[in-house]
Amino acid sequence: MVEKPKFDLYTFHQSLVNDNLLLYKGPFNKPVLGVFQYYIYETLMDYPFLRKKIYSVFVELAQNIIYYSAEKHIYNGKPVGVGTLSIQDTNFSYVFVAGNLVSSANLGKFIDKCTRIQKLNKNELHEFKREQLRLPSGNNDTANIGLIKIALSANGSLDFIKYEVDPNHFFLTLLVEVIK
Amino acid sequence: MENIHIPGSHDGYFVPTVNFNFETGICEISGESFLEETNVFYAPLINWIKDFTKTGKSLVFNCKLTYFNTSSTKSLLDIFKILKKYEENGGEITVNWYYDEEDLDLEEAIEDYMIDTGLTINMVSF
Repeated sequence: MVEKPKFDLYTFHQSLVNDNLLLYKGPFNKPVLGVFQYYIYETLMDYPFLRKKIYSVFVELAQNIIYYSAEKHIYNGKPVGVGTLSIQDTNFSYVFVAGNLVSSANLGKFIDKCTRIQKLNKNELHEFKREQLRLPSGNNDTANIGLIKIALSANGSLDFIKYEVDPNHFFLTLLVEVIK
Repeated sequence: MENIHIPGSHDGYFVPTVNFNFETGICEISGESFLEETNVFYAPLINWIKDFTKTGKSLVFNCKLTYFNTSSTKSLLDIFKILKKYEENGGEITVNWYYDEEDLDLEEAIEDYMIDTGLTINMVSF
């Protein structure tokens, strides 16, 4: 007799909306990136520009988890961030919901950046991007412009929700909508 | 100087195809760029271009990238800054970016590079 898992899959299944394309929780290592990449490329093969937008948003959200999640998993000897990412296909848009644990110490500057980005129009986003590119590269090879690039790909649609987990951590969720 | 030839690949990450030819002075990068360690990939390319600019030879940089993530954006900016500096010091350079004219996002990204560096990038649509 198989031991019942602690995870109630049926309740989880019922809680998901029907238009959920992909949902993953775990380390965002190379094989996982490959699965998402293959799925996006195959599903949107006939829409190359939309496919590029969707893939671009996915990559930046995934990289955010890889580098900045406070929860890590070791893959090939290197720490890789753990998080959750879902892509939903509605009638007129693709909705991304990405979440990961962040330390309370790092939360503030992240939210400041999100809040600033939300107020910028397209030209201002480009100017902000150019301004950030002039700064030294961030830790982990990043360029400080991931969130800006998400906002540009999604025509400014970037939102966030934070949940306090414990005194030292929050769970930060990013929401992005790309109109078809 | 040795030529650089890197075949592109898709395997979770995207490695662009790179061909830098010392004899012809033609440098080409194409495909998509999303790498596990961007700095490790681009450092030799950047160093090659820096060394090439010491020769005084003319250089043609053909970019045919259709997608590049944010880390690659930074590395490409570093390359364009070196090219601009070479031009300012009397070097002969031509920079072409081949792209689909319906790709407005890419068009804007190329324009951002031009604004940031002062470099003229010939946008060649196909």
